[in-house]
Amino acid sequence: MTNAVIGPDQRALCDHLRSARFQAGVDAGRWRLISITWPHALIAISAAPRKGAPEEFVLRFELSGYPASAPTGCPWDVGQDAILLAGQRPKGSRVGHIFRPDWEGGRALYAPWDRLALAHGGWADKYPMYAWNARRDLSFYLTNVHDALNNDDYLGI
Amino acid sequence: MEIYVHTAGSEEPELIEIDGAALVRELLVIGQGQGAELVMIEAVAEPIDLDITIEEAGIRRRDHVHRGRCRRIDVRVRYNGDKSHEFHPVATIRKVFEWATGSGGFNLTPEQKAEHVLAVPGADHFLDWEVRIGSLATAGSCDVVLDLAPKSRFEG
Repeated sequence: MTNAVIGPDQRALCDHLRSARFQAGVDAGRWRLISITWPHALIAISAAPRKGAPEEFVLRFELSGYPASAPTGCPWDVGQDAILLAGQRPKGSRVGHIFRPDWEGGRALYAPWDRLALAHGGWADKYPMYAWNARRDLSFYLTNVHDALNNDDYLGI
Repeated sequence: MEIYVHTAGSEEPELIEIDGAALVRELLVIGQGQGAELVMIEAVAEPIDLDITIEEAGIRRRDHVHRGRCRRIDVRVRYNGDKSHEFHPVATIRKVFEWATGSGGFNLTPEQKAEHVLAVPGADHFLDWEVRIGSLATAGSCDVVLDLAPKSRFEG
């Protein structure tokens, strides 16, 4: 990724992708960058092993205005280049709720670190430990998703 | 080569470029050293000799090292009461969590364990599993206090 003729949001993302926090996650196998076609980025996040379930789930991020504006991540089927179908989404009490397909057509995660969900009235105040703000970075988002996908209540798909 | 350096007083690590032939003591001052006096790695219980090279110390590309002033960190976790335990500074929050929720700690059920996480009191985020406990030590102290807190289920 070059810094030639790019906006401050894309530059901020590039800087973060080089950061120790993001790179440590890559080295630990927690997530990996697949591609960037600004303002979108495909990032795969690893999941705990479950019978019949994939080793990772992909989010297609829209990152306009990053980091002042929160990222929004759409569960994505890379092979189909389309939104991930309900039957292919992670199941489990907490993670299933975060990846719920019945809210906004399933095009964002139902969690206060996501731009669309954060638009819920009062979520920033109700869930301050999880809510996005301009001091966060993409690894904050990825860490929360990785935690949900590796929790004991994750059941597979 | 690049290595991850975790520093007391800074939750986030730095990814530092350093020659494998450099002395370990150079790790004390490169980047944001914050007055560190010793360097530790997970595989060795005691601080590394500062006058051997990075390679001689067994530090490899993108290994994690800690620098600070404490050989051990006394961790106190608050939940229903307090429990304390001593950890190597390079121990991860995952390791502290396993102790805090296990039989030596608050002995949570698997279901309870899945619903909790650790946080620094007053912080605006929960601790990442990969944070090294030594990085949470503040100046002049080898003690760390953490809260075992419930995760939220988001309802709108």
